[in-house]
Amino acid sequence: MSMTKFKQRNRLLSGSALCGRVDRSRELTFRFNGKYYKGYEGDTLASALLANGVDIVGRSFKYSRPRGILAADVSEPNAILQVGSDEANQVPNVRATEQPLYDGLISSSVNGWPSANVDAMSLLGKLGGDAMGPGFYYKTFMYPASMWETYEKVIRKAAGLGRAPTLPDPDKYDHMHHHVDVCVVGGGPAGLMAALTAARAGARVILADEQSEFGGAMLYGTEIIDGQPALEWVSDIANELRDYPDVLMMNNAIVNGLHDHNFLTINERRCHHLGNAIPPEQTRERMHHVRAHSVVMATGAQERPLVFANNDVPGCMLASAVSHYIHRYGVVPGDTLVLMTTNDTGYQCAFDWHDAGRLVVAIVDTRQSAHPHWLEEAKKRGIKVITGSAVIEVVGSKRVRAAVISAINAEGSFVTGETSEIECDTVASSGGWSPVVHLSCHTGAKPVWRDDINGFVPGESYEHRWYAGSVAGNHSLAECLSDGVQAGQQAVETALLDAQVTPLAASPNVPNAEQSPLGKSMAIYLVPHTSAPSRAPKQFVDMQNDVTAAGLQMATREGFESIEHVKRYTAMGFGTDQGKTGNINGMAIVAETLQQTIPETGTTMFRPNYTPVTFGAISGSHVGHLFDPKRFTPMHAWHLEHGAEFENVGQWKRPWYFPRGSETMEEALHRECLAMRKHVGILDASTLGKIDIQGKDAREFLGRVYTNAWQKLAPGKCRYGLMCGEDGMIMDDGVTSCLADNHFLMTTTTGGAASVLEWLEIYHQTEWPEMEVYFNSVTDHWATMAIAGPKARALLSELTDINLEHDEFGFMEWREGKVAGVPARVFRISFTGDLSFEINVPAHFGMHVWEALFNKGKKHNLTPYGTETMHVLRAEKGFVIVGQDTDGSVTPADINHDWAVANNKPYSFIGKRGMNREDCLRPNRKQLVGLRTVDPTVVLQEGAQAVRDPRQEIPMTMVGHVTSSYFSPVLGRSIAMGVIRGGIDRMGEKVYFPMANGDVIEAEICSTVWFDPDGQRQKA
Amino acid sequence: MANTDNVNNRDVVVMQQWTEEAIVETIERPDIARGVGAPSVESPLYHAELHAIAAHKVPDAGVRLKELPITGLLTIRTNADNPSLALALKSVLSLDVPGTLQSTSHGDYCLRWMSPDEWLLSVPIAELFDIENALRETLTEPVALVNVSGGYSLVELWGDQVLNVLKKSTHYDCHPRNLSEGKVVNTSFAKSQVTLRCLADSRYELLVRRSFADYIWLWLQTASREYGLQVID
Repeated sequence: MSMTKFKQRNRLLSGSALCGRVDRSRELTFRFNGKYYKGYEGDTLASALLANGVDIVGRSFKYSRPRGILAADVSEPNAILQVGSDEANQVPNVRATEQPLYDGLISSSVNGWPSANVDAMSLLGKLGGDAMGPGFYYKTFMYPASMWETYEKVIRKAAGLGRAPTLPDPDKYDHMHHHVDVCVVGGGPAGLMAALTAARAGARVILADEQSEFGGAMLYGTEIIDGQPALEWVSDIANELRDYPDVLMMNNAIVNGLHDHNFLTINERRCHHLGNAIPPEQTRERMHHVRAHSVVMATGAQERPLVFANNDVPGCMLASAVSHYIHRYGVVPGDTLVLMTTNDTGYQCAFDWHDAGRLVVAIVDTRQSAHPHWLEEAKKRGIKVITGSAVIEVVGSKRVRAAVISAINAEGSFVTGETSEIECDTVASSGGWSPVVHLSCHTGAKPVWRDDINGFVPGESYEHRWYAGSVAGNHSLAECLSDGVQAGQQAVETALLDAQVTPLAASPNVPNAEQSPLGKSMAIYLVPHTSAPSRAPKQFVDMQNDVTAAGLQMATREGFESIEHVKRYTAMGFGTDQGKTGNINGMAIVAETLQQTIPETGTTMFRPNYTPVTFGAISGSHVGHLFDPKRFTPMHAWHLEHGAEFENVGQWKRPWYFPRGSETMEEALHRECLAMRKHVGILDASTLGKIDIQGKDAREFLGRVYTNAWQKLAPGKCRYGLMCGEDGMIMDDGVTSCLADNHFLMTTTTGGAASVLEWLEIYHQTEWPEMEVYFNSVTDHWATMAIAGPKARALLSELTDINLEHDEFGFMEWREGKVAGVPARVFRISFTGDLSFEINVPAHFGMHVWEALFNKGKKHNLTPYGTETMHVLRAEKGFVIVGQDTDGSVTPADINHDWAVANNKPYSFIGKRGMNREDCLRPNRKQLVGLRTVDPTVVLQEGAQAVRDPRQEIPMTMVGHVTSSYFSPVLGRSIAMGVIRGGIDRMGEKVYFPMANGDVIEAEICSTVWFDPDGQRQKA
Repeated sequence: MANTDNVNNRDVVVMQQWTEEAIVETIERPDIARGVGAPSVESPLYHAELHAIAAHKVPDAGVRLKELPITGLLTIRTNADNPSLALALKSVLSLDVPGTLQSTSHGDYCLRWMSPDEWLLSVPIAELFDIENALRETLTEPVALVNVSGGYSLVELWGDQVLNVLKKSTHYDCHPRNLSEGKVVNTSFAKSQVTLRCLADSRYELLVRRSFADYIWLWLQTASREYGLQVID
């Protein structure tokens, strides 16, 4: 590649007064739309593109017009690019003005398919003046509605909104929580002084600024503070602030939301200058969650462009943006400039351009006169000033070729003279300054219009919030500095008073600022043209969404008068830039069309976020293995070593089954089921919820939360209990054991543990606070292993001092003793229907005892089994699983558990009234029954719907569905449970299950208990 | 049949080598004989082999982490105005009942305020049985005592950057102005919860539920990665 190819034609020479703050010793190569360019460390992508003379950065959304860079900051509507050097790190819709340049950066236009320079949409765009007017989507594409999806695909592809990467994001993100006395938003003169004031008082402070350097508008100004150049002053202040341990200074940090109670969300871009070279320990972005006592908003103001014909042609820029590129990056984005301004601040742009050694063709001032100081400065430089005039149109399509100038009347409402055309390649405009009120609106305060500054200022807030500098309409540097001190002082005083901290030092003096005098500015938004807006070339208001002055006028003619309706109809302000450059102009145009004032037209509100936030920053570190906590039992490592497959039960990882060798799941289940029924199996039941309940009223409390009776349960005994909600529907179940007269251990389902504990606490704390009872979760304290099967007693007896003899230790009893040398509680409860001992030991001994059982277990063929085998075994016995066989609409009677409901308890119980409502007592409710398929090899599908007449026309009358269905190895046939209307009284009747493939499965209603109906085995 | 979508065949990646870059993501544990002879004790982070990781020295580590051995933990529940509690604690352990959000310590004993009617006592595990019995004998009014020693991991975190790790992990204000020495809070920690106690300047104790210990360990590795994490055996 030749050197000339990389010539940065718009870059000022190093060593000149205006060479910018880029590091010329570090040259960077980047690619844009397939071409290679060079820039420097310290450039933004936008400044580097301008340095290389790249005019067109994309095509417009609707009309497909070529677009260039308009702004130099967050307000940029056009330079919205796709950035990323490989597929995984693609980022759509990046503002080039905020993307630091790095070596190897690859970017392309998001708009313009197939390319930005040759565009398939341009024909439609050029014809489309009328075809794509406001409300285009609504008018054209919503009818017929069925075609909308097709239209949308074409339009979206053609218009382009960037594209998301198809690969996972390799970068890391995180969150950080902060509590501060004062959070200062914006690091310009006002924000710096506010932060300094708060910091010196000893407060905890955060100062966040969206730019890579502090200084705000002084980054591209010529101000002097306390006798030194403003940026030297900024550096001194920033250095002092950095030395305070309780002050956090953040650059590249956009405050995106200001929520109730001064909760702020700040998105810090930490590595955007590094591209792919992010070190592994660094996060790309960090979302700061800040809880601030007081907030000082020093968000500054954004310059408004003027609206004139063809004002979107590349080369049309904001006046302040031009100064920004010259001062900060040493880039002059053109050769010949015409500046149009409505105010004195705009003049600086022309002076900078001139001082950079390029030609200012003219300053066109819409006012009759400017402040003499500025006219004098222009005269000194030999710049022609044309007053009482405006650039009404520019000529050119891919770049400005000339400006059409005309005299206008004093109000700026019509042209008064002949037009003349002057050649230039850049037209900068300044329409005045709009305070950045966005954050102040986030909690509902409506901004207030001020005629004296032609802008909205923040409305009243009821929080501890102060506004300082330009955001409050105080644009001069001196005002910003004094505002900053004052706001900082008020904010810190209030905060420290509430924190009961004594302030350390008095507030700093307000620095002395030297600034040129400013005269009055003119309120003009839409520059008049010789033709009416509807006939003049397009006058763009919102560049990103291609909203024109004519479009806004048309919307009002069609009856949209509220600004909120106009916005939605025209899409003004709906782009990724949220209309930062266009909203005020648009409101002014609507107001003028409706012949009313701007406040009468309404205020525009802003919602979070101020700028788009990447999903990565929102999820933070909570991704991948940290997305959701995984809970492990003390024996988890054993399960892993023995090849368990796992099932998620709540957050727990439970062994699902233990395949051996190349066993399929079915084969493993078959083996595990038979091993347990014939020998002995072991289940890790540590995940079951366990709640220790103590107090003299513990027993009475149990009677109120369970449906069954607890008065007579003696110490050493266990009982199954059903828990219902107020509606009488089953909520949870489990076995509760009496440890002592006033001491119980409740078990809950694995998934229900936390909610049951909460349920008990709610009832205790709100309904029965007089009861003396305490609930403590001991789920994690106990490792629980259930051994079940005919050889369970023989196995356990080898390891324990507890007498396991049938007469000494009966079914539904518990004993205390040692197992494998460890203190243990052993419960004779069974979820398999076989002889079973549930061994509980402190969790840190869990692995030891588990291994000890296996050491002795070999000769008994001890077989580990998981949740799936557990499901089959319990289904063989008709034991329900709450949440599988019940669904929140099932009463105890519905599952034939009337035996577990004690309606004669002296005090009522939760759910008693609910389950006795008329509807809960009617006979034809869905009731839990067994379902015996006529063909024993057919396993019903869970969820399959039952009908009584398989020949009925669709829609058929459905009478219930299957809730549990398995193949039972011990029975050698399929088994199932389901809920069938009136099922309990229909034993022996047939129901049919029509399947999706046309098969109809026939089944007979039967008892839910398939195996050992007398319960001899569990009592063995 | 269970929903197979829930199943994660092998969600735990085993990494043998501890390096500064690698997150140690493991639930495998040292291969030693178990279940025979004297009962072996496995702390909640036993599987993480912290002693092996501790051998890897991290220069300029901003954060240090140590899992304490199994500690005797006793939850105490009673009315705050039960006078017999204060008497028993004083006579058995020379401990005062801490005020709201506070803790009191005496030697190896520490009593933490947990909620208006709940305290958590920690003592060496070997002493717990005798202490529990002594308390029961001394208490004259009903007090619920619950042994929860197996239910928690006790982790100590300290170092220059430990406050930043806490800032990433909990929305609670851990600045010394708010979380001063001896103060105890029960609060959220990433997507779990901890009981957090300030031991000294830039030194904290985390009481983590056993089943969440691995999650918290993974989280702490991630959160402290940029500062350097030194595990202490």
